[in-house]
Amino acid sequence: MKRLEVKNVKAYYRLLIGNKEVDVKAVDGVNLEIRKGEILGLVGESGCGKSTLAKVMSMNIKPPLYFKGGSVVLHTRDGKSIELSKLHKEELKKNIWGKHIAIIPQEAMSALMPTLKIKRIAYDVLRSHNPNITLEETVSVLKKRLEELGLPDWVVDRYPFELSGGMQQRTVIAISTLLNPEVLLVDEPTSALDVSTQKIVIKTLWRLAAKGIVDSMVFITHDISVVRQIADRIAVMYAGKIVEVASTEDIIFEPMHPYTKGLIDSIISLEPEVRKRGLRYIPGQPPNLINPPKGCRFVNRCPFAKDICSTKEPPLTKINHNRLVACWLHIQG
Amino acid sequence: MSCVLLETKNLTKIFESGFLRKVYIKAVDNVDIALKEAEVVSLAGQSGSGKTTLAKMILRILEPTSGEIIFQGKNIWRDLKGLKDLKWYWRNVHIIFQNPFANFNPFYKVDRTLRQALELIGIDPDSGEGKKLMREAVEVVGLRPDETLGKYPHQLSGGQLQRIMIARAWIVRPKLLLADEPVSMLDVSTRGKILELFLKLRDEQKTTVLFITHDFGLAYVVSDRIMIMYKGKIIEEGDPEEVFFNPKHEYTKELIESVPTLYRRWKFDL
Amino acid sequence: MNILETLYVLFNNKRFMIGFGIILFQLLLSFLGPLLYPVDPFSTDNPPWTPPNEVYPLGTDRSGRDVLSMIFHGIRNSLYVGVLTGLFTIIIGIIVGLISGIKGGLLDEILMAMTNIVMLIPGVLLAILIITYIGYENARLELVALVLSITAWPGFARAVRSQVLSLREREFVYLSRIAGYNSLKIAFQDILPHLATFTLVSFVNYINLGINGEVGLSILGLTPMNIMTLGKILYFAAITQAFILGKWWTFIPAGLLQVLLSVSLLLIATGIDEVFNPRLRGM
Repeated sequence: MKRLEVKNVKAYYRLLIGNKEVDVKAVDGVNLEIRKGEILGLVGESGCGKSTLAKVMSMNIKPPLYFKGGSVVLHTRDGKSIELSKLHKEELKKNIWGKHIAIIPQEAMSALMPTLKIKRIAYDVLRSHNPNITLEETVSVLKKRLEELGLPDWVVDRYPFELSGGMQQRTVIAISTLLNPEVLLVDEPTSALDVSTQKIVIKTLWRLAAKGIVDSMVFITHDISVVRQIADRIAVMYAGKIVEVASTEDIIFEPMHPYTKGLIDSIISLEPEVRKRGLRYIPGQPPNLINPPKGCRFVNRCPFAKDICSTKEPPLTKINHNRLVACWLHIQG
Repeated sequence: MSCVLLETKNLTKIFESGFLRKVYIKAVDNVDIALKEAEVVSLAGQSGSGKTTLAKMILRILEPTSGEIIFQGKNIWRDLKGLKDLKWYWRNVHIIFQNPFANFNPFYKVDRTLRQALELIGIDPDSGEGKKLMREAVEVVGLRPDETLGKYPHQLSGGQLQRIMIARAWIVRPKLLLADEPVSMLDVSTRGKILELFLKLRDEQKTTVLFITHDFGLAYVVSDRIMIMYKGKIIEEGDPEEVFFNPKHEYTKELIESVPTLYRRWKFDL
Repeated sequence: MNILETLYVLFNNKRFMIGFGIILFQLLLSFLGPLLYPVDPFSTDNPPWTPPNEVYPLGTDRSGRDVLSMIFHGIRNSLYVGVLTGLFTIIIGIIVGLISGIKGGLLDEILMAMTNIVMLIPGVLLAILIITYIGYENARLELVALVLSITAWPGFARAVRSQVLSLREREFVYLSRIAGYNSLKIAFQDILPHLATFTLVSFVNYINLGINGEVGLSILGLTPMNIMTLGKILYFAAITQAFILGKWWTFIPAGLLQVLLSVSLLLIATGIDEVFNPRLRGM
């Protein structure tokens, strides 16, 4: 059932403010599991720690970010369990990244080496895992994959700058999943694209999962309308914590956490019910992650806050088999 | 029917580039628009459609290749003479630019942009009234004056800078406000509050807002009227329901189908 | 960044520090030297062609002029010509570039045509014409600096103009404009601060050009005869055939100091550039 487990993970940014070292608690005690064969949407607003959580899931951690505690466990297709948080960088590079977990960071398309043709880029990627592969073999593997994803095969002989933004992004997706990893982590894959290319990229990601090329996917974005198109479940993050995890339909039609509710209500989309509803928003600002509040982190903006909310932190609790919520309105104190 | 505040006639802007072989780009192509008093109109289109060029010409900072812009009976490129006339125009027509980081001169505190607005409307920024107005404007856009005033641009986030630009427009209270992607840097959960300000300006100050955006959803929800721009031309114009749910142009239809929806899920097939 | 922080960062830059150290050393030489060693550099009362010894630490030249004293005075005057050239070039360049870039239109066309014409005039030819017209007996160091700047400013003016042209299209300039600021106010408040670093670097480079240019003109015999400069020392060495005769003390120390001056100014310029130019920072 489980593909990737994130248990009580803390990852902080160590910053120097004036002469004092402070920790920005970007990911602060997060529990999350990614199931086999699902697309999980990880949504949240700027600065909530979603991109940091993506880095933690793959253990791709570079200073000033550091891993404070917890564990990340990957269950591979062949039934092994690997605790990623115990591995060294070299082991991760050699055995995990690309092979079991593929990562597509924000603005990945601009990271394509501009002086190499696409086939050379793919060749370099494959060669780092299999030193015996030839360029011809790479081309045939890549062409087959491009066809599966609905991309034209002339891409292999082009330089990155000869491709449009959407095509670049889809090519990045194709190349980084050449080794059929179990998990794909994509961070804001569509934010720099216009709507028509956005749709094509989303379709490419959906195909990737539908054809079983990647088994599980985590789609990180601030835009629920985008991720809801392909996600099976959505996890909502706020101020370094997961506040609610549920099926996509439940999150959108029956949100339980007041933040999720407020967020869904604030979304503006091209739909009559949204225009009829009018403009909504959540008053206030998210808390500072250097000194987060003691209780629930949403307490200062929550219309339903009770006494307990500002004193005790609500744990992420199972409501039913498909939903987890961290809110004192829904759990017993 | 309320009266027309600003209209353009055959407005065209051609950019030329290249030295020996000249290349001409029609950024704005024969555009006729009319903006009425107290309405929110969206000018929607993809990047490169000519929206910002059109706005710059209306703001009278980019000279059109041909055509006229008439504001309250005056041809702004012909009848405005001298700094006094121009100041009158800019007090009545103001803008919020797209990229909040480019709006601020890094050498000055963010207050400068607000002080400029006060000077424009004839209030001494150092007087008690000026200071009060400045704090008020910053509070209106949901910022704390002590956390933002007196700071340099690089010390604030894109969202905060964008709000300060809106505060500036709030101080000037123009008759026509050109708002170029004014909420692009704001979070979903706080956007509504800022968007409300534009509607408030329309209702209380009779301001006309020309909302320039690529986000069809946003255009649909906040506007009284929609104009869709494509390759320098206005290809669709009218009531939001009409434009978005009964579009005439193929291009509009295609785009609308690509806009992600919250309550409806797309269907894909292999 | 305030001024103190800026200076702190600047003085932590290795290149800048080395360059600054050399300049400081030469300045000290030129100011303290004549006080501690009060010898007239033009006096010919000493024996000619004396190699360095206890009486004449750097020897004398063919006319019996004391080389050490010539160097002390020479450094000071050479630096003076350099700084003046820098100042003149920057002032003319900034004024022309700013007006051209901000005002645009016909004025821009005229100014740029003028700039191009000046750019085409060979500098040495112009210098010979001016100085022979005025007569080099009447010429002073200020004139030398002016002659050098006249051919140097067009390049700087064009660079300023092109920067102004791109700054002019920035949103914050538009915002000042629609707040009713006139061109002069925009030039001073919004545009000039952005040109500060570039101007400072150019200033240092034009000082360098002034110092080297003065040497060039001196060797051609086009600078005032009654003022000692590093160029003049080399000129005297050249016309007395010191190079062929192997009287090394009359030109090696002066030449070395001149090269050192150039190097230190280049180091200062790159240092400033590194500190203020974000693209070079951390390299």
